[in-house]
Amino acid sequence: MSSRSLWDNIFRRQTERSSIAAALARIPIFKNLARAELSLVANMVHARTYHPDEVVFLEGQPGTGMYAITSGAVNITLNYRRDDEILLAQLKEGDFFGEISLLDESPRSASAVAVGPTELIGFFRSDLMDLIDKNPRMGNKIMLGLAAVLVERLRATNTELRRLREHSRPAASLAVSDAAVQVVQG
Amino acid sequence: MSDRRGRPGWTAWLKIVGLIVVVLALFAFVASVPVLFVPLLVAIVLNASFAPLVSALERRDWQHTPAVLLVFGGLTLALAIGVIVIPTIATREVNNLQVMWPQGKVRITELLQRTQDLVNSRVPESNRVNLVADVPVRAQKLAQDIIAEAPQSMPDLALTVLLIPLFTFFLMRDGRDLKRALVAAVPNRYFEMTLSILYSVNQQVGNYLRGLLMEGVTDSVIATVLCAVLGVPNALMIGIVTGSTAIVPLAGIAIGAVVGPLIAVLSSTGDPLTIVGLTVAAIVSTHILDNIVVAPLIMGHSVHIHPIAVVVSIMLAGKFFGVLGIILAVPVVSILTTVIQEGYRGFKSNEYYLEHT
Repeated sequence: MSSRSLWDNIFRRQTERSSIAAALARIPIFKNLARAELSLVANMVHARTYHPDEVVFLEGQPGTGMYAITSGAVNITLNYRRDDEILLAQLKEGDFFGEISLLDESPRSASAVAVGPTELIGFFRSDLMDLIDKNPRMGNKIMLGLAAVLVERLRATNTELRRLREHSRPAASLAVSDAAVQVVQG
Repeated sequence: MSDRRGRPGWTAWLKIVGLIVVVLALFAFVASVPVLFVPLLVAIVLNASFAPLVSALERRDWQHTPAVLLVFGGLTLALAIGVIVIPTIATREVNNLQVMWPQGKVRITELLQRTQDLVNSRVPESNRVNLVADVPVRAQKLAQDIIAEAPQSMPDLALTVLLIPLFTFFLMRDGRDLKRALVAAVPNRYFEMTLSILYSVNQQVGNYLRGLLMEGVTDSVIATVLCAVLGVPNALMIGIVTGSTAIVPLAGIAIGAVVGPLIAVLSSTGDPLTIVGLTVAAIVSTHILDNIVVAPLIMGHSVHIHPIAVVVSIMLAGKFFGVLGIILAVPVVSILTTVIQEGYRGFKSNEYYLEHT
């Protein structure tokens, strides 16, 4: 009986790791990693379970890492539980958030709250630093993936900025703001 | 949970105090069982010191367990060589000492007499101590005490020697899983804070312990070279003693400055006062170089503790835990400081959280 439980436990653990690795493979930050490397990262990340309405992190808290949603949903809000609360996005399974915190300790720009029973995978700056120290090649791949994600977000922000300016400013000033956008895009 | 301005309320503070009490109680329990406490602390030190070697192997695409096995195997081999070589050297040294003892005894007595004369010429009669009469009596009593206690402490010593490699191996192999299990048990609210604390503690203490080891080796080399240049006999042994005692804060300098000159006097035929003077000069120069060059370079700013806190913690640790306490006082205070600082930062950032949940 006990040996059966032991084997059950070992197989359950392996299955958990495989499912975490599969979830990681869907995140663009880890897209450059090979299967064996994903399995190594799966050993480093932290699987967490959240109850409905449980706070993952709050706006203003020091950022320590990113989360990926393996099941459930997370609301990203500004001014959480205040009269002027704004829902920025509702993220679902396969989405990720908080990735900028992998690079610096600046405060969280919004709050993240579980909508229903939610399972998340946390990957933190300390894990990334540890990985860069132990396996720089893998660390570089993740950093490149992270850079690609951030560049994509910057492009989207620029596009949105341009769209907003086109709607809010007279045509004469568009040339100047377009030039500014070009400078930002490099 | 918190007041209207978002500060942690009495329940939150009760939890914080409760956590501190539980941690202190656990620490006190483990500390009250020296046969577990000492090997565990030594294993933590060894793990922190040799973890970079495991990481270096992992960087070369080694799996974790084989990397740990190789490093642990290397350590065991070094220990085995030590176990074989040290008794041989020790036996030879003891034989040498036995041969030289009658002459050495005369030389030490001569040294004590000349020091006594020096003291008599500088110190008023009322404050003088009788070195020639007192020192041999005290040394004999110390030796008798050590010999008398040796049989009682042998089983504990044997168990300690067995437990150290066992604890070290499992800490090296399963340390990460233990950390993950600990983090997994922490509630979501304190999860990120716990990760930050563990990372900071690991960084600070690891750097400090590795620095301490490198400092000991560097001091040994410097002291050996200085003794050899100044013509002090048995330079290598004095160098090793100086380097080994350098890792004991404060008291180490005093121990080295007594044992080193004694070795030099026993193994030379020159003027004892000159030999003592040269040896002390070499040891003091080593410590000056250590403080000015070696420590800032190697230790860097790995531990940020006020000097007064260092002195007080070393004195208290020495009183309660002996030499091991003195060695480990700085890293333990560093851990506590980091935990308090990061914990305070985490709880402060949770103020808003506490206000809303």
